[in-house]
Amino acid sequence: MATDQQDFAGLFDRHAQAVYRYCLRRVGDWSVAEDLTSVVFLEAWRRREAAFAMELPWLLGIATNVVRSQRRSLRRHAAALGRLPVEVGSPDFIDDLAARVDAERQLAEVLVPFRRLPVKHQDVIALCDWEGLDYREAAAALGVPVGTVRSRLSRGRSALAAALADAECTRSQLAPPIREEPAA
Amino acid sequence: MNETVPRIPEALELPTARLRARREHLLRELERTAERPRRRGRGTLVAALAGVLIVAGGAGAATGVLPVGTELPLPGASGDGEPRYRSHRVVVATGTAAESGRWEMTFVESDAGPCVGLRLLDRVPPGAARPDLHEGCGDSGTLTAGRVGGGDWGGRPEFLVHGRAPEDAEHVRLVAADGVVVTTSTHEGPSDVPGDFYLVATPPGLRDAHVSWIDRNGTLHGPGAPVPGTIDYSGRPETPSRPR
Repeated sequence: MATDQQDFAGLFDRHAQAVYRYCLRRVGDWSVAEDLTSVVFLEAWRRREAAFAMELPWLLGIATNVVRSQRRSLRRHAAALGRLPVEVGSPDFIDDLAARVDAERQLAEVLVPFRRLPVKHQDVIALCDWEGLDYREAAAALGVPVGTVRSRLSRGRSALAAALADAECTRSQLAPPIREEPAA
Repeated sequence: MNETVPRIPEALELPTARLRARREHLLRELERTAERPRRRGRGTLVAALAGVLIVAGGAGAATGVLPVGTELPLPGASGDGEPRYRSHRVVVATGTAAESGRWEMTFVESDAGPCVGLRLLDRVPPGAARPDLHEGCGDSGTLTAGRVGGGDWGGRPEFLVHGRAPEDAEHVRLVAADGVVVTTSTHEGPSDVPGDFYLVATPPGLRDAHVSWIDRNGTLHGPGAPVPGTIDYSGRPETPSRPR
């Protein structure tokens, strides 16, 4: 596990994209996800003495807490984030703006029903179904027993399916009625 | 990927140049922390302070309020029926109540769910050597309510309704059947502990009290968590915190 700065650079190289994707999928905002990624690694550095062997689950566990309390996390590290160079501090996604806007729209559609779930269910679905952690890794990330991950995942999936069905039902009720063509 | 879970768009990766810039920034920040004189490890501080707490409590002296973020060592082994703890107990909020005096709220994860505890530093129960900790554990609800107080340790009776609130809570409002309404600001707690925390001091005799939380836009989120029955001061709560 990374205990000095050089090791830590390696940890960042191995997992920064995965942490960024996780943050993005949880918050649905590119620039916030980018700042949260920095915060996750700053927090990881602060807690490096408590690190455990599974690097990515450990980082995603920290990311889960950071995302849950993002306002506080960003405020806590505001000084460090304020020292980012200006060109990094402001998003610049001109290169693939259209693709990003499209992905953000799709993500927003999924996140609306997802956020209606209890946070503990959101966490296990995000870690297991979206990030691909197995039960053991998710349990390590969240600091809960494997059985708890299984049961939360099962309940969370059912609740999400119900929320999606509700959303679909509402959408169809809000859709304008189909106008029948007059008979020829 | 489970079929019931909707697919999410394969998120675009952070562009290489931006990733590199973040990496350099991170390493500079680590450099800065390395240059600063390293503070004493929290664990060391905890052990030292806890030692002081116990010794001072044993001597019947008043104890100091620990700073928010202080980690308290857990007992070596849990007794029968006690939850098994998964982390250190952390001080998440402190304050002073009009009658009960100084208080310290703690949080710890356990196999029975998150536990919120309250320790009254100026009110040592009769026969006790040191301030005792009242703790209620329950599965991770977003708003919990526990109640401490009304004991015979001296002073006018006062109940301290306290618990955990969602991260977005700016205030917590307690409403009781007899028309009592008390609103209090939440405490943020340390950054690595999820959620906010609150404490409301109330007079005794509240009936059918419940708490709700208010976000920064002033929206009240209800119907709220019921405040459980009285918790005596001898140790174990009669009713665990009720998650919502």
